[in-house]
Amino acid sequence: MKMAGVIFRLLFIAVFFCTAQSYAGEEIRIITDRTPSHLSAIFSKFEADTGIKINAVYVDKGLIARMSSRPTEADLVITKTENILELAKQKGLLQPFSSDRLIQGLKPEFRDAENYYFTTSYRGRVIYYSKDRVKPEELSTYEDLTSPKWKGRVCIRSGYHNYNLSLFAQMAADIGLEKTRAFIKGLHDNLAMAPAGNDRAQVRAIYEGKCDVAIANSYYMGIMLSRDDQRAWGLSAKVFFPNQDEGGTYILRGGAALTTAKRDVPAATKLLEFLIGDYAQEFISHAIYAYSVNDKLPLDEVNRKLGDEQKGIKNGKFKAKFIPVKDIEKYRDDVINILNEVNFDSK
Amino acid sequence: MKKLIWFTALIILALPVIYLAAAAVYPFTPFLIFDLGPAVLTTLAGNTFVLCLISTFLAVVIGTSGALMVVFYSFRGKKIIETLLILPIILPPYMVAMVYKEATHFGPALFQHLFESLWGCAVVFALTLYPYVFILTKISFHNQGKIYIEAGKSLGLNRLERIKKILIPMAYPSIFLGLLLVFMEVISDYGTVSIMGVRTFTTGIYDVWFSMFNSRLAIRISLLMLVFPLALLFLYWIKTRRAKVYNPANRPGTGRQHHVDGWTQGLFFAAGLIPPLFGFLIPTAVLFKWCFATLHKVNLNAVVNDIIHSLSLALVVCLACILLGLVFSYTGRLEKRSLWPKAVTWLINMNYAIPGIAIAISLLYLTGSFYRTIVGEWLSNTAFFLIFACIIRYLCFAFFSIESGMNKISHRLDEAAVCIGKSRIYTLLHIHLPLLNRSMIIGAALVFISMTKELTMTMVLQPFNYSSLAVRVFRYANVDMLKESSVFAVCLILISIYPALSVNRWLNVRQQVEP
Repeated sequence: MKMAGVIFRLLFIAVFFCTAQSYAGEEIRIITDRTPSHLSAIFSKFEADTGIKINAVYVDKGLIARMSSRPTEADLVITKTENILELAKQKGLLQPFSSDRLIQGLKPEFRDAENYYFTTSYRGRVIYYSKDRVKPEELSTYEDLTSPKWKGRVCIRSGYHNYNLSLFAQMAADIGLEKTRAFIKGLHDNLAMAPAGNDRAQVRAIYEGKCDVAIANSYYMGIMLSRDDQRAWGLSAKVFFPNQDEGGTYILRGGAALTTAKRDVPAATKLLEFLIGDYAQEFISHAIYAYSVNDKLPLDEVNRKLGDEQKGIKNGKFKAKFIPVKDIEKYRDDVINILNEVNFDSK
Repeated sequence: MKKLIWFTALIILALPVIYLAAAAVYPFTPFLIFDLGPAVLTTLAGNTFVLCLISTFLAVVIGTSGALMVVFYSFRGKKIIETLLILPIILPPYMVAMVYKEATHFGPALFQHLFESLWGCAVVFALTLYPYVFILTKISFHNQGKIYIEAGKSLGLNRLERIKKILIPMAYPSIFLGLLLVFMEVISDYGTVSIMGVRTFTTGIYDVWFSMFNSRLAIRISLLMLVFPLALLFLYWIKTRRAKVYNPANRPGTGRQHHVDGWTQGLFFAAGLIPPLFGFLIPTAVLFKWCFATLHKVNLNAVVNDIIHSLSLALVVCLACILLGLVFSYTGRLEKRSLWPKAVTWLINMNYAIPGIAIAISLLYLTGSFYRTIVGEWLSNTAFFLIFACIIRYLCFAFFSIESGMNKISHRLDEAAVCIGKSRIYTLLHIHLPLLNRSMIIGAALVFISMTKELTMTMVLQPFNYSSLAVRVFRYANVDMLKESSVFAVCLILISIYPALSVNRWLNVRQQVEP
């Protein structure tokens, strides 16, 4: 029976650690598909300033599934791409915010028309090109990447990733579905290798000479240059902001929103407001290298240099195209059908 | 009453399958799968099939020959080889893939091209999963009676013929079971194939579920994937239904092992060293090197927290699986003729073949309405549903290990206990339990090791403020922070090494048979 006693005690300790949670004072709960490195500094500062405790769950996969099955589990949701929030809104998983600070403080392009969600930061879906093998004058638009001169020279991550789905859907909303179909087919024909890996892997492929141009998010340049093991990848490439004469570069917006939970809406709103406040926005600009929704904040030093060899770009300021997320999301299924048709992720 | 208990157990174990089946047939759209388009469907099916085929074949070859070598031969350094051969079981395949993929960036481009292919992926799987075949085959070789080998000798068969005609055929059921485990692990893997850029049905499920938000189609694919392992399982059942392998003399071989010397000895040592060298030693050495270089950058509180989470979760699931495994196999023993235990066995098998992500999401939806109650909300705030999902998926390791141990205990012991008026519970606790020591420890260690590697179900079902070693490894690796991820990977290796070594120790209880 001695053995049984030991097992029982172990079980008790294990259950205790599995279930231990502290409940004291005011607290809010956040569900997000972002990684802790993007948010934990902001959360700590918020906790220190307000005394409100934050409980977060980082759901890398299946955010919508989790929100649909447990709609009131979290008080607010933060996502990498706002497209997910539009979907959540359509499924009735969000409630509108009524904070004046958010409504007055954000430009209309950074808010949902009915105030269900808003943008916390954005980044360009830009073209990275090899410093040595490509001249910036050779580049112009996204569609130009389908021309024969780029045959076997283009890299991009999986077409089904939300970043690319959003890019293709923005294009469909902007220039029409047929032209987008031609673009996806043309891009697929020009790929140097089957789409795999993340955005940084595409820039690394430029560094290793496997391709000459790649589509990836703008903030990765800052991240790569800040890391010893990735600096060489970043230094081998330059950023080009496409479509500057065609209305602007397509962008991806990170967003936040209130879920339908009614536990403590004022406290949750406080955090939403904090996300567009100076501390959070400066962290977003200087630690994550994304673009702030507050125009008055200066660009980070790295971002000021983006596009420095490109005609018309000064101090990293580029023209971005803000298509309402609602219009973009309409094309998700059509884009997926095209990707399936061309078997985009295979080469 | 007894039927009610069986029925409840069956329903609980079948929850994910029932949900998946119901969601797949309602509404009835039989051709939904073609939404993926013929090109994508062919790629996914082709890759999945070829990958499963190559990796299981390689794993069976490595596992079986390894077991043959260490059970029937003696050579210098055998003890080391024997221990090393088990160790790759600790490393999740995606971790090995991550290390080698990084290494190929520093070699010639051809190397990278060769590695990031179906073949490279299959080799990674074979190198990390062959221990399943190795362990099961080794147990089987140990249990084969010396009498058969002696019969072979008296028939004038030479050593090779004895291996080919007697030993291997008698170990078929175990080899097949190992093959099945490897197959199911490969077919439901997400981490490795996504790192290696190989598109399989599982990556398809992720795309369909999390980018296309078409849960019905994702469920169809998960069910379609079940067809392969179920077909294999059925084949296994057909093959082993009649063929009973008895050990009439009840004398598991105690004969002398064949000693090899000279250059053959070196050959044996080298052959035994290669799989663990590439499947464990090199990746582990690289991870340790990265870990020491980065340790100062990582928040140690997070590391300690993750170790506590991973350990406690593994421990709870382990104990629950052992307990349930005991209950199911003992009641199955008591009710030999009943169909209930057989149904439970099938379900336990099948649950392992369902990809973890499908189990997790089905539990999420099934418990959705329950979440709105006070108890449901409280349970969701704990790791309860995660534990539940893990028990459903990993019960098979504990169950099969205990069941095979239980089958070896003579029924005469039960009869004797009944004759002296002891209850069944008494018989289980005082007669069976001490005899099941070895099976329980091996089963528990296998569940524990699988649990520390568990990734997908934790990602979906984790409670608030929770993280585990495996999740952190994958999360960092996903954003190219391999060095940071290595710190957590090393912790994962360290907590699994003792269970892996204990499997080895308990496997060696009986030894020495000459073929």
